[in-house]
Amino acid sequence: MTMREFTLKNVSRRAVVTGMGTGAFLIAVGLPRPLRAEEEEEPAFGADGMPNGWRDSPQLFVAIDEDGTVTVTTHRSEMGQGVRTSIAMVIADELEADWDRVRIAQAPGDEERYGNQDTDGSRSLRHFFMPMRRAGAAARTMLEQAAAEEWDVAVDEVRAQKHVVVHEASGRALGFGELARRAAEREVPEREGLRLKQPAEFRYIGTDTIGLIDNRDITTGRAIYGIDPHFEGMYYAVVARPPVFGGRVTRYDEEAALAVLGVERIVEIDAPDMPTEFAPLGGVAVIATNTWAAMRGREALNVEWEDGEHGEYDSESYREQLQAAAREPGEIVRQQGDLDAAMEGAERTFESEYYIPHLAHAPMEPPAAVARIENGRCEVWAPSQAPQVTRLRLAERLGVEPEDVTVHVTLLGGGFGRKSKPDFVIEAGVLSQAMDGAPVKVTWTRDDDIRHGYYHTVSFQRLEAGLDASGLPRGILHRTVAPTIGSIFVPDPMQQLPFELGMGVTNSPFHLSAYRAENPKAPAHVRIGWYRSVSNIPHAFAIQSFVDELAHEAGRDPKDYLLELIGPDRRMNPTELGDVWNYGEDPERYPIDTARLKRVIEVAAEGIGWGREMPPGRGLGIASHYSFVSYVAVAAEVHVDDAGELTIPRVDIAIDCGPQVNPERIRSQMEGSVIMGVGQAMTAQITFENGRAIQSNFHDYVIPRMNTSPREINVHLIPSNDYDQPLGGVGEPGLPPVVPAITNAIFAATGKRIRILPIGDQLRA
Amino acid sequence: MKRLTLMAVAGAGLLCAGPILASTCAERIEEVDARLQEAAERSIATSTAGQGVAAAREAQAGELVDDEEVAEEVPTVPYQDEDDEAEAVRRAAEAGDGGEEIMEAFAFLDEARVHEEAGDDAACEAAVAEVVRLIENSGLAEVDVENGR
Repeated sequence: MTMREFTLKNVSRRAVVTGMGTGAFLIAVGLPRPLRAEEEEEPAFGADGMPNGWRDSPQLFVAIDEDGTVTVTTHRSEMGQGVRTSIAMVIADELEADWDRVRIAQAPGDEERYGNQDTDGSRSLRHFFMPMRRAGAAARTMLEQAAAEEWDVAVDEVRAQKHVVVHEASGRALGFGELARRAAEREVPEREGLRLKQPAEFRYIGTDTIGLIDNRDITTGRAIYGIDPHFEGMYYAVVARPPVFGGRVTRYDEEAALAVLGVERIVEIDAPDMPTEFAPLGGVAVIATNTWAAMRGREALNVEWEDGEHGEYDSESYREQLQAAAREPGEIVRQQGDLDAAMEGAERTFESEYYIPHLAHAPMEPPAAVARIENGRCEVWAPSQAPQVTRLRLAERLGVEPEDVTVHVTLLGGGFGRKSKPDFVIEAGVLSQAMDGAPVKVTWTRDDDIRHGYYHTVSFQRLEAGLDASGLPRGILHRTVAPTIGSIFVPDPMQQLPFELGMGVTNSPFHLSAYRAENPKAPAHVRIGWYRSVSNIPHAFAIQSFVDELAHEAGRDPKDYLLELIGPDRRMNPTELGDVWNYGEDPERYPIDTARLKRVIEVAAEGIGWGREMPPGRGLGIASHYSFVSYVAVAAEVHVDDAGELTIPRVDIAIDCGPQVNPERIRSQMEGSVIMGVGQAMTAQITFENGRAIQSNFHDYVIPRMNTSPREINVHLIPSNDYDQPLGGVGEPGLPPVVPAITNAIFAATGKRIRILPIGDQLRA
Repeated sequence: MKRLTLMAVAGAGLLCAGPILASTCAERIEEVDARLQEAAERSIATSTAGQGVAAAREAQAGELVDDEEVAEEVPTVPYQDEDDEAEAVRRAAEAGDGGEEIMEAFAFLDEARVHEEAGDDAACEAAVAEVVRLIENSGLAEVDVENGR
């Protein structure tokens, strides 16, 4: 083993197998109580409805060492959003732990044990805030009970306070470490009787006092990402994958590849059946003693491919196909009022079309994974957003039981949904198996990642409005056309799924007498995957651009027009609108609240100084969007110079996500959303010719850099201290309104309407 | 897209039952609306908050023919125990093809409202009958054929 081996603080090794250092105790013994919601006849929403549900036992999430060190196990994947810190903050707060004595262990993929581990949907805190509070409170109660027993006093006479339990009447105190052993012998208290802290008692929740717990390791190079695990005798592999989705190998030069110094073996990976789901794309792997040799061996392969049915996929002609589809009626997916009559009775009509290209997740860390197999048991180390899925599919591929697969979750150098798909981890497992179980590290280069991704859907949106004399719409028709994510799960679905339409189409809360949404058909020619914010991106861009266009057509202030279109304050059950997804949440607990939506618009507008006089070439734009049960508005200031050069001096973004756990991380997520949105607006796109992705790296898949990023980003958090209210999402809802705010600002600055993304050279014309 | 064939037969019966009803179309709209809300809530519950699970379940539910064919027709998405997930997909299928039919039903219900406001009872009844058929297809709401609800 090398020095870096097993520096991962993985609970399967440290807590359960080898212990957490000397004298560590899981806070109780025995199997955790079954805490998943009962198999019910009643609908199960939120975390209750997720596969394997949730757990809140301190046995799983809290361990206290005799030296007082508290180790919090987090079962969610860390990809920069700070979830390891935020989850630990919640537990530590209820536990009354001293933050300086809190450590983190990362749970392996094991949902039977930890509850659902898919880190997607902006829901780690939304779903696990209360279970983690209860875990911390239960552990605190056990410590208090242990102290009371030690002192032979009533438990309500003692109280945990910052890592000690005190008996004020006698002035006695015992540290958590001193109480750990005795506490660990106690029964876990029933959750119904737990005393949760009042918000006024919170030490960490809702405060800005806690930095990222991984910051030091990240900044000193100690943090372990997917590419970092190293083992003696490890092999290194890269894979030549078919350039066209669904393509197959026809021939390759194995001898030439093997002639490269360091290349050990060539392994063909089977092409997947369709639909591919999470299966590797197939191709030819080169396994070597170092990555460079593997890459050179791959070049020497000279693979020839049979392209298959998607070999003619061409982005230009596909855009025309989508446009044609959007100009014809599609399946009606939402309808209110009599749109035909509204259109016929309108003073005039207005229509517009919008195009949003494929996007690549492009996390800073490309996919990478290490696998080894010993005695029929496979261990992998991977930056996975979905370790349980990885475990099950890897077991199936290797022909072993899931119990014989352990997925150690490393830090993720960004994820954005790409690392929910375990194809790259399965590659590592397959190649380790081919090498008789020797450890194999599969590395994806940046080019591999850009050319072989699960792409964000390409989309065409058409909106039509019948306007009254004041320029307000009597009715709106929205046609949304895009290949669906469902295409990776079933053969050839042609329409977006309800959950995709529930991202801004079937739940848009405008106060309209007539509205119709249609969903024409669109085939998929590449792997379509969920990408941060998913279908909210095209829907928000189209809708918020269209509203801005209508405002200008009416000669109205865009912000006032937007607010008027949202209409009076009201709380709507999303099902009343026709939404059958609602982000999986209880529609009565999570209604759509137009007052909250309007408030973020007002706050963002006030922040940027909406209405101020702008010099030539400068403009302000605004957009809002409800997604992941949170409300976000963005106001952007842009400058377009005479040469068509776009700069963004300032962006103000306001979010109402309900009660806030870690405001510093919310601000960070909003800032990241703005940066990512700038890239989508200005440069990001994946295009295809002959089925092949044209872009390959950051020279042509351009993401924001210092010179294109906003000079100033101001985040406005709508305060909420009522922790009885449900939490909203944070990781994704910031992104959708960013692009339309920027493009609306561009129109204000130049009179040029951006309807096709990215902006590229459009301002230079 | 394949449908739950057995359910469709039940829906055909409802279409026949519609015209014999005594209540006004406006009353029927209100009755059906409440059931549709319930069906929508159940659809939400069968989808889930996770994007991957939602996509898998909704897509697979739309492909499902009937209960017995879950495992054979559609490869089970590996988000949990295979049997549990097959059951979840079956429930999603009952939720109107993962919600797709409920969306359609909402659209027909609004169409019924438009016809009702225009005084076109026959068209209103036809639209309500289509809503009822879709709810019945969803398998989520008991529909009383005798009373049209």
